[in-house]
Amino acid sequence: MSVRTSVFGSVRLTNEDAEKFRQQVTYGRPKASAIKAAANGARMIREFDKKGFVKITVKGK
Amino acid sequence: MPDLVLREIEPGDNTARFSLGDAKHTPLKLFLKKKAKHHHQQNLSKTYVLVDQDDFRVYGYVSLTCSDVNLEVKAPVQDFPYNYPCVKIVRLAIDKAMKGNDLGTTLVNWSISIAKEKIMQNVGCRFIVVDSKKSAVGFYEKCGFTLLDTNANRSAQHPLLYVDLQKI
Repeated sequence: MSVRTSVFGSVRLTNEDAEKFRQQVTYGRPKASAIKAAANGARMIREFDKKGFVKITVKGK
Repeated sequence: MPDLVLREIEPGDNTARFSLGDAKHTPLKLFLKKKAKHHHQQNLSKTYVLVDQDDFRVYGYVSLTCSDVNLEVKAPVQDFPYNYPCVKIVRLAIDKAMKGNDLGTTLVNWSISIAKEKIMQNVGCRFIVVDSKKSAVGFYEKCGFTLLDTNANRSAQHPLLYVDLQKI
């Protein structure tokens, strides 16, 4: 086991996990879904900055 | 269904009726009911809630805190052989009454953007990470997180996933 973490603690990676993380960070490309998530979130941040809250439409409504 | 707003947790928010419908999620429920407000007030973690504007009932929440990634190998960024600062998703849960409405995705999008727009740009922070429940790995991957792709991590009780904020 070479990933050690706790709810509020550090993430400590050793051995194969550390090396794989390094490779993924060095050579990995951003996921389209991450870019989309950041764009959606940025819209909420702008609303939050103006009003102190974000109105959320519940789809099932 | 009620109109909801997303905002910081407040002392008067009603968490008493928060229900996840499965005993295995009790720690998530108890954290909201017993610790989230205190941690928020003490700046140990920050909790954002999805709350009904009329009765302040909480239907979902996410709690974030500062953390770091400690690597025992050559650093991925040249000339930075230190721990890598990150934001960690400590807890995330949606009330069973609101399941299936993509509210979990909303909270993840929010968390990524808090880390990217507020923390990374003003303080310095490279990643947002989560120690996911195994059953939620697919959910986080769909939200843009990348699984640390090793056998040990995939088989761990709480696999690690991350987003490299520098690249999005």
